[in-house]
Parts: sequence; structure tokens; C-alpha cells
Amino acid sequence: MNYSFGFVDLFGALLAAVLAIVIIIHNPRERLIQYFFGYAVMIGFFNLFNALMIMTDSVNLAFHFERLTIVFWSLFLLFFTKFCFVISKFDREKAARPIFFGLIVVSALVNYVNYVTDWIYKTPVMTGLGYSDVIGRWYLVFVVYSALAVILSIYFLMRTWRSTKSNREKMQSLVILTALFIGFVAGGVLDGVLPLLGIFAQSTSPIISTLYVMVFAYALTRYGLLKVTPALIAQDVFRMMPVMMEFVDLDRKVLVINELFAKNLGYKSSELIGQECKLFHANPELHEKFHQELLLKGSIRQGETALLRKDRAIIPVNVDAARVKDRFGETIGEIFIYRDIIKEKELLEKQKEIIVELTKNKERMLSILEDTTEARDEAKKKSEELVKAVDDLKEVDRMKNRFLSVMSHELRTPLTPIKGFSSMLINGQLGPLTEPQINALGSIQRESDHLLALIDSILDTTKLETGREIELNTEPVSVKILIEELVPIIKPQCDQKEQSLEVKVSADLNTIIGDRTKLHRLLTNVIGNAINFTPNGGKISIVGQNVDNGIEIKVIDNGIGIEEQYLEKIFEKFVQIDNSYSRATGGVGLGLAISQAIVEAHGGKIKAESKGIGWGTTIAIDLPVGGSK
Amino acid sequence: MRKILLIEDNKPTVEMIQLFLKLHDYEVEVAYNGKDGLQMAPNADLVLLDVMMPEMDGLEVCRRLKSSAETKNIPVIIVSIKADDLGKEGREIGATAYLAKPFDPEKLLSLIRRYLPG
Repeated sequence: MNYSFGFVDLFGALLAAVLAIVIIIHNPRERLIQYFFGYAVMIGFFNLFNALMIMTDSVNLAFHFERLTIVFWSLFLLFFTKFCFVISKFDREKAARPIFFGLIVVSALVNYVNYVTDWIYKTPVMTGLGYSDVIGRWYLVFVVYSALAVILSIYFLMRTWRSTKSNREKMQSLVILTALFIGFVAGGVLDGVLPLLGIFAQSTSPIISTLYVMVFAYALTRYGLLKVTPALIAQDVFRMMPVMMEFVDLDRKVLVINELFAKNLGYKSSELIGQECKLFHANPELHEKFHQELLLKGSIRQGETALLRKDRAIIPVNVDAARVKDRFGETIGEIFIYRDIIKEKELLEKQKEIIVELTKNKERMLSILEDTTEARDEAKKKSEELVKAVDDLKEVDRMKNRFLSVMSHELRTPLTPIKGFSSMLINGQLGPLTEPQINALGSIQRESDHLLALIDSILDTTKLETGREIELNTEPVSVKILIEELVPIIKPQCDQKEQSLEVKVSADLNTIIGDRTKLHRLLTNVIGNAINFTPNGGKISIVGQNVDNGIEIKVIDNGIGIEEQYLEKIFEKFVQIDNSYSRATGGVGLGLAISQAIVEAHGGKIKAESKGIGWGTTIAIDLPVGGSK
Repeated sequence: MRKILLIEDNKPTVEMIQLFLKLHDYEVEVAYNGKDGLQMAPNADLVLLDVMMPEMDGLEVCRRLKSSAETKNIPVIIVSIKADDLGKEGREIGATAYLAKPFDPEKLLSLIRRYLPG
């Protein structure tokens, strides 16, 4: 008798049992693992009874074991289907329960029929490899039932494989599908198709099923479970915690550590597991104290210690720790959580440095502020002094103007009798005079007029200084007549300097509205300047002509001239370009400033033209007919 | 003989005007301040009035002369170094004419003759 195939099945049974145990240990509380466990156990029995059928020495026992083989095949099929329903998440759908219930009913029915009739399997027959199955006339029903369960499983696994976004679920579904497909085809051909063709080999299904289990077991261990359970999450969380964690058992040997712990200490996880924890503590005695404290209090908060790296470097850490109890309340070890405080210490140092720097800065700022305050007070004082000085200056200026004003009035007063008496004398009203007396009186009169002109200039200047406008007493004035009246007065001055005087005023020169006295002074000033600033033997011309809606008077000399840069400056007060010359000529530098003020009060314009030193000067005065503004 | 009242505080000026007007046959009475001038004014045919004086200035004197029925028709000629500035103000208070100091005595004479004919 050859039982070799029976031993193959026995080996399959053993393998399935080992796999079932390994898997259930892997995660005993996981429902999927439980189904897998059931599924593997059923396969083990399936193998076992097939082996027993082959190896038995009586047909009755072979029949008995053959029927049990089918029972466990059915159970294996149900567990497998359920496993596939769960793994594909079909079990969450409403249709899952009736379908699975239907499968159970059909399973029971098939097994009942198989046990009491020989419609599916007939009594086994002895072959060269031991007892072998013989199919009945309804055998196909059994094949279809089995295929249906497998196809359902394949369908739902395919569905998951297509729809899932999780890479892990895809891989897992693919592995199971591939194994199923190969097994389905191989098993189907060997145990389904060959018997139909009258070829009776030994049943290969049990050992093929064992192979499925191996593949599934691989898929589960390699890719993990499809469903992420809280326990699994907890594992991942522990592994990835951003603090160093160490779980030691009651013998103070390392049981579990997280990745950061191993990495920071420079070890591989495998090098640490099982080691005594004091090995990587810089101060084992201190660590011992923590253990004692844990025994007493159950936990430690914010302790300070130091860990020892593999390269003997020391890592200062903060430690929190607690004794860990399992769900039955029994203490199983201690969990230590370490925080690297090097960085915190460095930060603290840095903060201290910054604070010191800030304090220095603050002191510097305060010092600067003090200086600034002093400087500000000083500046304020100076500014107040300046304001006072300016006020004083203004007061002095006011006093000066008042003085000039009063003085010019006071100076006029004595001039009144001087001019009056000399006029009476020279007119012979006070008796006949000798020629020298008349000449002397003429001199007195001229000098009086000169004095008066100076006084008037001062008076006008004080008005300009105080910002008062020159008031005009307007009336129609013929500037032509004004000039003709002036000629007898200026002619003697020209004669004295041997200057020629030319007067060219149009006969029809427009009469303008203006202040006769002021215009008189204007012409006196301008012509007087021309005479003063023209050397002996020079030439003075007075030209008057009508212009658009006004008149233009030009006083032209061939005297010393003016540099271009001073052409506008000469109209400023107390400005004389060559002071030594002006002293020689007796002016004070007010004439042109007053002249400009008079012209502007009449709404006109005055300007100086000269080609430069030695080229003479032309003063051009434009006056509108309309007169004052 | 026409009577001219000269109200003026500056003695040399008073002497000059007095002499000049007497030469031209006018009787000249002098008041050295405004108050005296106001009292003497009713007897005068024409008043020559200075502005800057003690006691009462010429403008006030003129105002009073022009507001009194007794004196309002007497011509008043303001003779002042400030005449330039007083044109408008003098006109408003009713002065007859203005003459700026220092003046040509002939101009004074022609003004007096204009307002005191015959």
C-alpha cells in the first residue's frame, strides 16, 4: 500500500495548524485574524481527514473520513468566504447576511445529502495511492456550489482592488486574488475536471488549500491588515512619537522603544530591546532613584536626567514616567518619556544673551534719550533766546523807524522858516541885497532843497521798511510839463560837471493820473543818479514817448554803467555797487528803492539797462495812463 | 485889513509867516496851541493851522471849528509837515486846503488870496 500522498496531506494539516497559530498570535483580538484562524484550522482538518481517508485500511472508515473531509471543506469554504467578505468590506452591506446565510444552508444541505446518499461522492475506492474519492451523479452540484462561493469571494475582492485608494489594500487584494485564481484553476482542474473525465488521482485540494493559507498568511504579515484598528494606530503613534519613549519591564529591561529613542541614542532598535535600561543612562544611580520614586508615587513629572549615546556622548533630557498596568490591573513595566533639552538649554542661553544685549541697548537708548533731552532743552533755551533776540531786533527796528520818522518831521520843521526867510530875502521883500548876498542866499536855498530831499528819502524809506504802501494823492499830471519844470533845477547841476543835457519829450505825451509830488521825486531821483554816476563832460538824455496805453520815460547816461549781475540789485534799499563812488557823490542808496516803490504804486515798471562797466546806464520807466492801482 | 489866525507852536515858523503876511498887509494873530486857537478863531477871517501841537492837535481843532456854527464858514488851511499823509483825513473833517512844510511863501500867499479874495 502506498500512503505517500497521505503523508503529503498530513504535512499540509500540520503546516495549516502552525500558520493558524502564528497568525492568531500575531493579533488575537482582530476579527479578521479570527476568521483567518478558523479558515486555517478548517484547512488543517480538511487535510487531516483527507490523509486519514487515504491511509485508512477499511472502506467504512475511508467513507467516514471522506465525508468528514467534505464537512471541513465546506466549513473552510464558509470561513474563507466570510474572510473575503470582511477583507473586501462587503460584510458591511445589507446583502452580506442573506448571502452568507444562503451559503451556510446550501453547505449544510450538501453535507447532509453527501452523508446519507452517494449522489455526490460514492464510497471511496482503493487506488495505488490509497483510498480515493469516487464522484456521484450529482457531483457537479457540489462543484458549482464550491465554485459559487469562490467566485463570490473573487468578485468582492476584485471590487475592493479596483475601488480602494489604499496601496496596502490593493496589494493585499491582489495577492489573495492571484493565489485564489491559481488555486481555483489548479484545484478545479485536478479535483473538478479530471474526475469528470474518469481520471481518478488523489485529491489535491487539501494541499493546494494549505498553499492558499501560506500565501494569505504572507499577505497578512507582509502588508498588515486591511482595517486600521485603534490598536494598530496606537502602535504607529507610539513608534512615531516626537519624543523619546522607552518601556521597560519589571526587571528594568527594555521591552519597547520608539524610533526617535533609538535614533537619538545612535542604536538600532534591535540593539536596545532586551538590554538593561541603566546601560544608556549617564547617571544610573539617578535613574535608579526614578525607579524608586515610581514605585512610591506611580509617576514622575519633569525630572531631569541625562542619556548616554552609543558614542558615549551625553544628552541632557527632561523625563516623565509612569508605571504601566495591563487591562487586568497588573503592573507590567514602566514607560519613560524623554525630551531632549539641549536645544531648550541653547535657546535659554540665547534668550539670556538677547536679554543682556537688550538691556545694554535699553541703557544706551536711555543715555541717548537723556542726551537728547538735554540737547532739546538746550535747543529750546537757545530758541527762546533767539525768539527774544528777534523780538528785541524787531523792537529796535520799530524804534529805529519811529526815530527816523520823528527825526524827519523834526528836521522839516526848522526848514520851514529857513526856506521862508531865504525866499523873502532873495525876493527883496526884506530890502535890497548885494550880489554876494543873493548868491549866498541861493546857496542856502539849494542846500535846503537838498536837505529836504534827503529827509523825504528817509521818510519814504521808513514807510517802505514798515511795509506801508506809498500813498498817492492822484490828479491828472503832465509828465512833459513836470520834466520841463525840472530842467531849470537840474541844468545848473549838469553845468557844474560840464555835462550836456538833452531832453526829447514828444509834444503829445499822454497825461497820466498820478501823484505830482511823488512823480517829481521819482524824476529827481533818477536824473540825479544819472548826473551823479556820470563823470565830468558826460551826456545825460531824457526821452519821453507814448507807448501802448501809457508813457515811457528813459533817462540815459554814458556814465560808469552797471555789471549785468547788479541790474536788479540796484533797486534794493541801501545798495550801491561801488560804495566809495557813492560817498563821493553824496547818496545814501535809497533813491532807486524809493523810485521803484513810487513807480509800482502807480502800477508801472522800472528797470535798469547797461552793457556793463563804462558803457553807461539807461533807466526805463513805464507808467500807465490809468495811474494808481 | 483881513485878519488871519495862525495856530502854530514853532516860534521861528510863526515869526517867518507873521513877517511875510504883514508884508502883504494881513493882520496876523497867533495862537501857540490848539485850545487858544479855538477861542480866538471866531474873530478871524481865515485860519492857518499846524497839525502837530501840544494840548490839542490841528485835526481836532479843525473838526471843532467845522462843527461849530459860529466858525464853520471860516476857511481853514492846514499847514503841516504831515500834510502829505493827511490829505484824506483833512478833507473828511472839512479843511479848505493843505500846504506841506516847508513851503514857498508865495504858494501860501496864492492860497490865502484864493480863499480870502479882496
